[in-house]
Amino acid sequence: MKNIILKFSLLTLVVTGFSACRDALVIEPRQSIDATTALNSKDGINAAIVSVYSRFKSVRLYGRDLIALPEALADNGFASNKSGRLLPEANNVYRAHFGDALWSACYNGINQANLIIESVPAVNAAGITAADKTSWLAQMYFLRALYLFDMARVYSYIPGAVVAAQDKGGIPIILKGINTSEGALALKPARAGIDDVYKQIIADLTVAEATLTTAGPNFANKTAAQGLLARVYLYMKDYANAKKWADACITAAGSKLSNASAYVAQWRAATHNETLFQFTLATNAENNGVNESLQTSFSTLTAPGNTIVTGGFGDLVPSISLLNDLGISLTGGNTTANFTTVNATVATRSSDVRNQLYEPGTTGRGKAYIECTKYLGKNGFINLDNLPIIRIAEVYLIRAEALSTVGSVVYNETAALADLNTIATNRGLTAFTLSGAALYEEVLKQRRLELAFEGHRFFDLKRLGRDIIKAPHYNTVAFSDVRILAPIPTREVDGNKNLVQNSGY
Amino acid sequence: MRKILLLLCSVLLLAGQLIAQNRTVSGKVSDASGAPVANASVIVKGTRTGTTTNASGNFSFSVPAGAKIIVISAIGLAPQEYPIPANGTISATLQQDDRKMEEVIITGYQTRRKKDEAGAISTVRGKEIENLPNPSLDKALQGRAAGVLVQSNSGIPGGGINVRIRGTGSFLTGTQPLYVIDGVQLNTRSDANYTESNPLAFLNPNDIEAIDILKDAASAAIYGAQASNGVVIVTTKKGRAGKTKFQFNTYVGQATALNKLNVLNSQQLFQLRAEALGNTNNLPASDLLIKRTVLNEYRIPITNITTDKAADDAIAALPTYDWQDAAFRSGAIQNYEMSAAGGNDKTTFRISSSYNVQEAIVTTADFKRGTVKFDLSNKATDKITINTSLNASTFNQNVPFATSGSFLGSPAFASATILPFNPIYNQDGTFFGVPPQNVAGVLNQNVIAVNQFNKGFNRTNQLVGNVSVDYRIKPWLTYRPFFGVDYRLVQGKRFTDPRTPDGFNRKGFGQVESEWNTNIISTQTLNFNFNIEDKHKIDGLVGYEYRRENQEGIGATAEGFPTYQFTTLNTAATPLSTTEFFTGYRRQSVFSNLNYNYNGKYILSGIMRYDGSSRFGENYRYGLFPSIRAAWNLDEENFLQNASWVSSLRFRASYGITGNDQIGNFDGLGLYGSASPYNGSPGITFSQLANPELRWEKNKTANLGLDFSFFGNKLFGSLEAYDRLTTDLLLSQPVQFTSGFSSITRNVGSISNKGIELTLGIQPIKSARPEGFNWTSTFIFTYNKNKVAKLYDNLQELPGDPGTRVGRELGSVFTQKYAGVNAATGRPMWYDSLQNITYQPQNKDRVYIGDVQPNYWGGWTNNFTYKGFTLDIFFQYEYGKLGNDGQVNFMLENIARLNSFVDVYDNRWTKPGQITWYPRMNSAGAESKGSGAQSGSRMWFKSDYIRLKNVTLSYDLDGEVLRRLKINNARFYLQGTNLWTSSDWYSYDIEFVGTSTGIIPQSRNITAGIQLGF
Repeated sequence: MKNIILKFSLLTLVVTGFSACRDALVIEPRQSIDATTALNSKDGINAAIVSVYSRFKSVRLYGRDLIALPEALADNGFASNKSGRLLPEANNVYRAHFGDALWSACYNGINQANLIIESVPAVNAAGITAADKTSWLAQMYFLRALYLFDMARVYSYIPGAVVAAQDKGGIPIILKGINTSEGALALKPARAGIDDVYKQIIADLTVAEATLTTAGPNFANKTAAQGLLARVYLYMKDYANAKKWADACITAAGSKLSNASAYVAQWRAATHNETLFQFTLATNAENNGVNESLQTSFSTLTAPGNTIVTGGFGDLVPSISLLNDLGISLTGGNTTANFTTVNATVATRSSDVRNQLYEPGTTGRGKAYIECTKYLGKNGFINLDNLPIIRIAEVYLIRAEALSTVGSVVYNETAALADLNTIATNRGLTAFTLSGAALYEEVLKQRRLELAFEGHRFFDLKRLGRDIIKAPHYNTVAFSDVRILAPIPTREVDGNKNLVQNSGY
Repeated sequence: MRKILLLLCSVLLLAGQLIAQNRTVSGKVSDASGAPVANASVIVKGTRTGTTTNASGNFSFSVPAGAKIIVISAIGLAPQEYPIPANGTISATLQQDDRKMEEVIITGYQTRRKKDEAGAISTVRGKEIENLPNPSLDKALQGRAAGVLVQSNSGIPGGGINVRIRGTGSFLTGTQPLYVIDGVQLNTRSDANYTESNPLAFLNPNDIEAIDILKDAASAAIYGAQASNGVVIVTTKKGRAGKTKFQFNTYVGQATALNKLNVLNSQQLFQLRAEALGNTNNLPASDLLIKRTVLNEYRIPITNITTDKAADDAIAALPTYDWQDAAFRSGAIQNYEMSAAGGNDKTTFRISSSYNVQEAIVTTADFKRGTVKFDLSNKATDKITINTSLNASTFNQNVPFATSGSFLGSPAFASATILPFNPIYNQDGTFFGVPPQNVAGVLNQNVIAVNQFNKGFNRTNQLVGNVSVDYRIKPWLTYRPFFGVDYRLVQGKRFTDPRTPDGFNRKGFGQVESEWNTNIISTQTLNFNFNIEDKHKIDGLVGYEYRRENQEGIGATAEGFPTYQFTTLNTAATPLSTTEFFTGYRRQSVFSNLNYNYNGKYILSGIMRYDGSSRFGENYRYGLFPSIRAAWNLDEENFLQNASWVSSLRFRASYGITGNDQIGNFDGLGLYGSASPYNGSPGITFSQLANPELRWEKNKTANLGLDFSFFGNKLFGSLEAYDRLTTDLLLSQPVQFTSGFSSITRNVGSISNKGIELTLGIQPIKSARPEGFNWTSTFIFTYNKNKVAKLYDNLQELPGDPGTRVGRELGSVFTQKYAGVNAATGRPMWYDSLQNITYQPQNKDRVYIGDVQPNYWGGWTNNFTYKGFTLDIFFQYEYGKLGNDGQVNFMLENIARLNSFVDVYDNRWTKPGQITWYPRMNSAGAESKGSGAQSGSRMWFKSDYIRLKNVTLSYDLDGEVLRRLKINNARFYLQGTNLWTSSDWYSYDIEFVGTSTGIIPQSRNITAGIQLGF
């Protein structure tokens, strides 16, 4: 009997042992979903759109690089060497530039946008209205334009300011979504012409402007599209269109511009009232951290005026020339030697309220510098700040520049002066009475002061074909220098004969 | 497949029915010492009729009327023939077989005599690694098995170990071997996130009986798609019939630092910094402005320092503190073990338990392990034996702030590089420079405080167990169902203290994690073993196996704790994040092994395994892994029978194919995964392109082997040559970033490893009497030549990865050659592609300067015995690789923002005409229009070494004393680890993998122990 039971048990073991065979290898992932059906629902598309926005928060995009590098590479920034970050960029060390990750992240964003643009017309799941589709497409065109624009101004010359001998064209324009291995392997695009790239940016923005229904400033919106159109046309030196879209934008924005008394306080709020569009960091989980966030990049402070508590590194501080123009003089004179050796304290300030955004940092990580305090954890957590893309003040300055540039078809000194003074008087300065080249230069200077540490200076000098005068801190970088353009990722050029590297890399 | 299996069974069953039986023979088998021999095989010569002995060594079975002689054989003992006496009772005594080849090995689902094996298999006996203070068994293999390269990730007790068998055969996928413990295939992925944790640390190495390493593909093919990197089969100690034996073992000792880095005092560092600033600003370092600047950096009030004299006095007054002294400590090592083993002819058992403590030499990191192991075997009937083996274990590791990295709080890194004038403690004994204050310099955290205040642990609870039944259907046929489980729960907690800089502004930060892994395996095998006439021996098995593994985890973080005493997340003000994940895979396989042995002279074996895995693309779920092995035992040939100097001599040859499935669980699927949220909404993104063609990497190894033993074992060893080719190599093939993706995992490349392994043993002194003076020396040598054989699209180099190119080793270093310092200006120089000097080398100037894999490695063991004394001296070595240490890179900077090596101070360029390799100081790091001084080959160093890894001196009490004390055995031992090293390495410890920065180094361990048996 015992034997029978044992044998029966053994048989059971055999059956258990072999029972797995049929569906043995079936297992589904739980954190990911099948790519072929991901964009078949409203929630799926909404979530995919989120990723096209959220990619911009990366420290390689607006999270840091697109804001901090234009300051470091140009004449606005001095590297304090407190963590060593941004030091090579401020020194314009060869290849210390926008990195490979910018290129890959932007094209990733473009592909996600393309896939959504291709899926939306065909998708007919429950709850999707025609208005949804229009809104989705408009947002995707807006963001695709922004990706293309950022790439274009980093990797190629800007129309009208080209060193012909070193010009290798624009960037590859990818408008078709890639969703198969074969498609990805086969793609070997060449660089489009510079003008073609800007045409595509304008085309996308124009569609977006016409159809956007979402509200700003955290999402793509009509007014922001107008502002960006004005900026892109200004880059293209199409001053008539720059003025046209600036007009539209300023009209649409209404009374967004802050006055002198409200301006500084607005910089302490999570969202500046002047913001037309920004990338928002909604929760602390999105914090870019103590190493590379905007706050830590620019300041050691945790709160204005509190030099007791040291927060971040404060790796990039305003240059002497920027401080001078802002109307700040340092204790003991405004000399280089004092700037780099002695803890900085402000001796005098002009009436320009913008200079109140600059104050001495802590001595917690070495000598105190005057630091930019535009980003001090405004969103309620240290190192958590919304990322500014376009403010209405810039649009006034775009229009002023379009009106005051010599040779502009819409050249109009009076109107330009009016726009310049709108900015000046709302910043605590007395109105200017200037004309000709002096007027134009003042517009550019006010643009520098207004938009300092918001990621413009390098591109502004570049689009105007100007040398970067970095004295007294660093050597001048001539416009003809190869370091004006970023290197295209070596890997990308190595793997694609059609893609030409920028000169000198 | 099942049909084939059943058919095979019936054929074999029928064969067994043909023999008639009609007479009984019984008896007892003992060994030379008189102990009963269990499981000895007793067969009628020239037939398949036979039985095995029970645990008491007794046997009884029916034999055919005409039977005259029986043959008795047992593992490890010499077979013996006995005529059947008239009374049918035999009392047999088997002698120890002194031929090396009679060792048994576990070859995967089978136990076989080494002499019958034709593959390349290394065996490490439990004795060889006994009592070494290694928390995990993989570490103990270092230098003890030819062809096996063992390297540590760091010196954290219980930390990760890299094991490579016969070179690196894979680029993307795992390179670790498969570990099988008592038949359970383990998951060896580390799930601990807060410290380095080695999953193999669950097992007390002293519970190991033997480790068999299947090195060639032909032997490993029985494990098919998991075997590409070799298989390590661990067999634990089991009980034996007889009086219950108790063993007590303990050792205690201390771990101390191998060395300190030779860093500068405050005045020297001041000088470097002044030169750096001076050179950048075109001022002499002695300029008052520069001195004031540096003093200001060093937080000396400079308002009153207006003269050179005042500045020099202030400089001279700078104190120097030894931060390394404060960061390093001596760690305690303790180990306690108790075991009981015994049984009767029906049941044998072994129970063991252990407790092991090892403290790291840096900060609070440690390792504490408790294990309980239980083995039971019961002969339920003559035909059925049930076995179980259970190992329950828990180990807890206190985690340091950082195990490695250039973090401000990373103890090994920051303690050497922090500016030395910073005090560690205030006058009152509290920490200096803790928030809201900090310490001066880039490394502005008090690393000692950070490591003392922050808390955390990773705890691993693991159960590995199995149940099996041996059903002896016929004497020559056994069915064995086997069920195993490997369950692991890893829990971790980490608390960033609000008194530390990282926790101050957020009022503390807490993280918890919990991950559990359930790995279940079921194996059904049918083993057969019979002889045809006397000359043809056939054995083998067929089997089916199913393995499933699910891994799940959850975690949470929060910040804002009321005070530093509150560390649980529920007390925090702000919950930050929650995470959860799931992953898993399934595998099913059928396999068979057939061995044929002609007269002990010629051996031929074949293996087939058909494996399916859920990890691979739709079109390639299943793969076939065959192998063939042959051996020729020359010593059995007539022409060598009279050559008395030949103890054994055999040739082996094998060829086989194995697979590598160590890739992500869902790598073949096209997926949308989660993306960063935006404005409070969750996001998804196209994260992975589908690849239905994704399949196994194939590893084909041809192996030639020679085993020899001459002059009565005075000279013995083996020589292996192998050619291992990995094809269908999985590579992350870059696609243009413009596609929106960065790469696709494809089977496109090929890697070749060719090598020679030599194990050479000699007995220079062999005494006639066992208690005389004996010296055995074993030298283990491996040469491996690794080469990328093919990439995709006829590329010679992986785009963006110049270290991977056809014809070169994986991990080749391509960089610009450093040319030293321009004697006139102090600027660092490099060679360009035309061998001209350049200050700004470009990509095209890169040349091959070596690689990071050793070309030669191995070990050298010397064993001396005299009377009760035993002395083991063990060296290990690696030769022919380059290393790069991030910490060294930082400390060789010419910026002087961190503390630096004395070498830099002594050799930096200071005046025109000086010839040196150390460029002049420069606070920007790079000269204008020059590359950073750290670029190129300057930071790659030879990392060859030979290390006296282990010395053990032990004394066993002799029989007379033991009898008087009424104990079975007593041993006292003294052991030292990492006692001496010869290398040119700059950093703490030469033994590490890859490029490292601030890794916690290994320690010098001295332990003393006692082992008692009664």
